[in-house]
Amino acid sequence: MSQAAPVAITRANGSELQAYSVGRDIARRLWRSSSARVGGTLVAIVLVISIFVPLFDDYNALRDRNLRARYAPPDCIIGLIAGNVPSFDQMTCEYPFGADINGRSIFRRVGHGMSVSLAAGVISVAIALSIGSVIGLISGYFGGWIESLGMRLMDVILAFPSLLLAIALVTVVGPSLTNGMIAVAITQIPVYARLSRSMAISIRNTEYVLAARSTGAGSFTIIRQHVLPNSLAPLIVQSTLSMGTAVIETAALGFLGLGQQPPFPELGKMLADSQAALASGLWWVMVFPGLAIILMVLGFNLLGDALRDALDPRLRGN
Amino acid sequence: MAKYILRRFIEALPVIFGVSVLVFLLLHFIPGDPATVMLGERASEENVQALRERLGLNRPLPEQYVIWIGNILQGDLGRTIKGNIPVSDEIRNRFPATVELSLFALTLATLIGVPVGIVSAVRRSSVIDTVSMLGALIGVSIPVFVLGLLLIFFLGVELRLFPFVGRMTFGIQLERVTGLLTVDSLLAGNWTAFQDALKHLFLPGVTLMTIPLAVIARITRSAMLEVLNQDYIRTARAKGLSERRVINFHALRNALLPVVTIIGLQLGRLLSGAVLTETIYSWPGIGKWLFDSIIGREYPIVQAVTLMIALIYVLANLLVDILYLFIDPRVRAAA
Repeated sequence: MSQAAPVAITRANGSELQAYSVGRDIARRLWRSSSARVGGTLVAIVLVISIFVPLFDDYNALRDRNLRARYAPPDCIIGLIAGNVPSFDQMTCEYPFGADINGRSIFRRVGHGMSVSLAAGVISVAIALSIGSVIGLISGYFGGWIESLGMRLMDVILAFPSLLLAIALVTVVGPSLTNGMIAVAITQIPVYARLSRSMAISIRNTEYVLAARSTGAGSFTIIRQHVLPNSLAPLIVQSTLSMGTAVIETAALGFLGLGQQPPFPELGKMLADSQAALASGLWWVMVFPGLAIILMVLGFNLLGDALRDALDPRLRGN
Repeated sequence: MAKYILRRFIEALPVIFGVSVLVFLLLHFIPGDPATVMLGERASEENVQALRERLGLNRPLPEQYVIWIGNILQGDLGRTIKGNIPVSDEIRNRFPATVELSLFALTLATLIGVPVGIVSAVRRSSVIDTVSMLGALIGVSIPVFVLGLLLIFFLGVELRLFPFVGRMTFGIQLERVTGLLTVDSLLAGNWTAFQDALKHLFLPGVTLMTIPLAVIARITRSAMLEVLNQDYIRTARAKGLSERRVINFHALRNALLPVVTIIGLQLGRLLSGAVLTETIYSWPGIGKWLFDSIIGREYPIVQAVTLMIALIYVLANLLVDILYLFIDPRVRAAA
């Protein structure tokens, strides 16, 4: 089949009418929304930190220990503001966010922790998205007992509050970052399964699917070439929105000691360890990992909301 | 109507069955021998064998399930490995603490969230709307454990406004009637105890409340906005009704359905959020117990608590469906 050449339409005044482009339309709507700009900026910051910190800072968690710097307060600019550093001339920048109980730089550990959290979020969303959409597309396309079986299974997973199921799964399988990511992914599978099932149901009887079937295309070819591409937009929106949840839940598992194991840096675990220092007023041990998580989640939530509005105005909350 | 209620119950049965199978299988997801894992590597072969016997791990899987579910249906949730206490006794002891905390949080979230949502919708794009929706966004973006620690530090440690450990100051005597300390202290007429209990509730309650509050405010706002665009609202205004009457009687009643749904759904979130909140505040409820059991490798307790919370969650959703019948005549007509 040959691709139809775009037709250039010339207005009376000689200017060429731009062909309507969905992509450009979405981009324009995104650019106009302030939550997309703020969210996009936050996500960009998170991405830059998560990619470049492990690349340029060779951090060996197993050897990082300096008891002389135990609970050292923040120096650098934050130290200047907080009054730990007497004057600008005496400012050093060894512990910009202070140090923890082992004298480890919280600045470095937050950077590495963010990259761990981001990776955990991305991987668990990717697992949930791929398994969930396969279950959903197959259920929706074939219907019948396959659909009943798939959807009842999803109902069972949905019957658990997601964090609780993740906790229960990791507890029995054994606490680790990998198991935590998988557990969080499992709890999110039904979201994608339901979404892609509803997309598959609405697509399976369209004329182009009928046309494909009449040319002899098999079911899986049709799902791959027609149903999946047409369900992508809502799935992408949902993935962005779930990133925030996935980051929170993997960090929550870490907080409960069920995620990344010490001494490796992870934001949730750092927060759990900060509890002991809080009563002594050592705020920096808690505040910076906390802010890092809030920054990440807020960014993905804002961007997800804006993407949803731009891709599907009908879903807009108002 | 009774038929509809019955049908919803029957529809929920496969899910409840599936939930119980999954929770039952949890013990078998343990890599290696569960009895050895629970007792630790250094346990004697005799003890391991005894525990295996007690948990029925030597029998075929379906038989194990039938025995397990049969015991649960008779109220026997097993015994703790350490201390040999019946799990059901401990749940009875701890459940009121979780209920009190969750109810406190849900009540606050509803009492604040619904009015905020209504005002935001009615005064759309005003400063109130912008600020509260921004607040709601930040509310859902702050993890429970971050907020909990921030509150402990600023309101507990620095300003010393509220206690942040446990349910009541040590030494205050109170007779247990309902297990809800605020209620019990009022029943006993013990004003000091009541104030103390309320103060202890404050920080964990606010921590647990934030996400439901944000969600309730957002949903109320969007439901109200949708209703306010309807023709019958214009009609109500056109016939000269006061704005207050239009909002309270014509708009709010029709916007309630999604709000009730979302309030019901928060219950599950509260119960699982309670694991984190109770752990942070050493609140002696079900959530803290779950955490302690994870650390202590008391897997049967993890199973029992998980099953209980999941069942409450399923029943709460069912209850919400049934509540529709009373709120919305359209649903009633369809049923």
